Amino acid sequence: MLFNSFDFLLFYPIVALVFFLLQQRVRWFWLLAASCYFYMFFIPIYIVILAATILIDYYVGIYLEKTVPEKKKSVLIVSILINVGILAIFKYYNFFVGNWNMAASWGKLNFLLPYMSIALPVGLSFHTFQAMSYTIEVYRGNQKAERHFGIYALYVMFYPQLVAGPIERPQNVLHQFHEKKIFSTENLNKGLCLMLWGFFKKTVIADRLGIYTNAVYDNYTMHNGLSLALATVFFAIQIYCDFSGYSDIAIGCAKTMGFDLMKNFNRPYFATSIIEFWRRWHISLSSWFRDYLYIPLGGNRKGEARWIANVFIVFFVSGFWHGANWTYVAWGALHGVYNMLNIWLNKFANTVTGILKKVVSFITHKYIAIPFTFLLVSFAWVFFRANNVSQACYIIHKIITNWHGKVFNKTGGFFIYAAMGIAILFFKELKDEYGWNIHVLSSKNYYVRLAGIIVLLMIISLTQVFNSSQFIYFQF
Amino acid sequence: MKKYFTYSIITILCIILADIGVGKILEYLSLHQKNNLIFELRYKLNQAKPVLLILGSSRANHHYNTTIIENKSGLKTMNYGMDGTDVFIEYLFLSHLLNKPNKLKTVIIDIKPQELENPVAYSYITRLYPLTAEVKEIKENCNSFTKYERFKLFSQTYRYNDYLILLLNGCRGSKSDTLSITGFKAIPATKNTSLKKIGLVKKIINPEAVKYLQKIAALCHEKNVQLIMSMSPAYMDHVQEMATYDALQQFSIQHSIPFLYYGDWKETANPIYYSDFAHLNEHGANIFSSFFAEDIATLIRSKN
Repeated sequence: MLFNSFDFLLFYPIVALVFFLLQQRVRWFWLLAASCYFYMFFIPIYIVILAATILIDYYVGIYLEKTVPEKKKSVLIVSILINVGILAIFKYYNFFVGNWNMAASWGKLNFLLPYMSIALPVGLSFHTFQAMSYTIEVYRGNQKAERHFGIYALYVMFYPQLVAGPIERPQNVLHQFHEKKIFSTENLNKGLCLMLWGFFKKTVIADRLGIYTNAVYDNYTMHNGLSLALATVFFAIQIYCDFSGYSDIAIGCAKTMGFDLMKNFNRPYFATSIIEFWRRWHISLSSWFRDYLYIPLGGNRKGEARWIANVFIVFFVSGFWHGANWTYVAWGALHGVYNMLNIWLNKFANTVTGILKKVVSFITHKYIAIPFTFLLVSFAWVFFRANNVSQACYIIHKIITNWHGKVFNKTGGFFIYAAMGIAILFFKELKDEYGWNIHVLSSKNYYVRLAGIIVLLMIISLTQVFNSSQFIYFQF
Repeated sequence: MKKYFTYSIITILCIILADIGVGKILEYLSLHQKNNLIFELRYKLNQAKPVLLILGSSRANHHYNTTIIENKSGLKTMNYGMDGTDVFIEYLFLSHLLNKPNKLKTVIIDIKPQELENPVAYSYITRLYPLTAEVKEIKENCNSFTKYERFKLFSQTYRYNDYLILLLNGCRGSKSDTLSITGFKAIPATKNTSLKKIGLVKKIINPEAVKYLQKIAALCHEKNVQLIMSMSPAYMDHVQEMATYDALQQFSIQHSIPFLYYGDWKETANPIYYSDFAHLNEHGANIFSSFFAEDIATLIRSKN
């Protein structure tokens, strides 16, 4: 079930209303049943896979708490291998087969593997990581194993964040399912306003820009560098609005029922460096990789060479997590390079003095650093959006060398709608970043809030792209 | 809690009132358009009374020169071709026109080379929403797009989705002379010798698409209107090998409906007559229309 669908507009208020009408002891059951229904709206049979992994990790958690320390590591490894194995089969098998068969035909080997025609379960990457964070935290002793099977299942399957995050930690969420949630008008207001803002970002901005991005990228050989560059910038905004819009709806939806999910985006395009960008973009995933991959690998504590390797491994895996395609790996690797250069620049900045220090201060000043960081990130998005690496290289080459002719012009007022949406977004982000005392949806004055809600709803009704397009991150 | 409940009711009421208010303003703008798509569509669906009607997509819109056809056939001709439409919208247009007083004698429906193999373009109905109040067939068929469209149309602003800029622009300038509206839009001829033919890949027939063609045929039969199917020229290979061509041949025999095929017509085999592989330019359209008009005139005379 998509958030931007009529089905969800019917589903959500019913779930929320019944949740507060039920007694505390059965609320978990209601939410779990609703989450199962939500998940089965996609491909019903795949709930079997989800149920199997939930069962396995539930018992692993209990066993990890009870068993002797010598056995803990092996049990954890087995659990991780099972989770990653399921992810690998559904998400990466055909990618592996494709590359194997290509290599085999180059090497003239007569051993080709068959493809599997299976659809990727929606949200597999997200709930797999969420489940793994549970078993790892239990192993580390930071989280007590959940004894209530239903509550644990709900932790993995909680419908607002089931298919595209935020990827939660058990310490943040599990205890909330045991607490009694009292209806709060403040939570309801905040949650609904956040959902409304999320819908605006997704349907008015992301889907609108997607029309242009798809038209240009799907026919990339027919467009000049200017159009490709513009489409790339639009894609950068599109993917941000699509994903953060989804996160806002998820967080807002949970908030209305009294649950607090973690913030997933913190105005990433205001980052003054790549390192800062990754502290603001998809926070739940980047912190997951930091805590469960980068730090266990040694982080920056085992010498410079190992530090570089660790950064590259994390971004390589992160790229690969996003999809079974070399373009995602290239995207991840590029960010790995960016991060290393950023780390060296920071080191360099700390050692220089005199004129060099002034030069470094100038280029790291926010008025230079923010657009430059955006440029670097947008450049990497070319790989993310392209269908294959050669297409990405072709596009980059054209962006650099071919600026002849006019920019591709989509008719029907496209640029006006796009500019309006981006302007509203930019103003809000600027206001939040610099703490301006302008509040509309969060105003204490009811009439100001009401005016804001009405204006936003009218804009959505009149300019939304109404085709219930899927969220980009659903495919991960 | 009581206060919150009161505020919630006020909020919902204000949203409904805002929706109605903004909707009324947009309806006023829509009814006072001077020269754009809505103006033309409103004229075609509510006022025009053609005797010979051409239905189809952008190919119909750019290929059938109504002036040439009208001169040869002697019948008032109107081109209702629209970008992106298919048999579903064409059925909707025809239902509306035939269910009110009209002078229609002949309907020509231009079918694209793979129209009966492709998914039906239900989403196109949203382009007609500004006319919902006047064309009841829109509301009757909107649930073909999504099952909740009827509920969405309760919103007075939703029906003007994506039309705001067009409505504001359409209020400016001088009003178009309705007498000059023929529907045909020529694509300016440019030298296009580098155009390459595209090869079509055969797909299976979509029963949904055939269903609407059958509905069109049944409607014409019921209203005693002559239906003629046509496939205008395309710069494509293997058109006659497509399932759509076979289906149209069979349909023609089964229902005794003439099918005029020009898909790979020799007279326009040169790329200079095309603006792209699917559309004739003005030069090509005029050549095609001349020949087509002769064939149509013969068919109409033989029927009479």
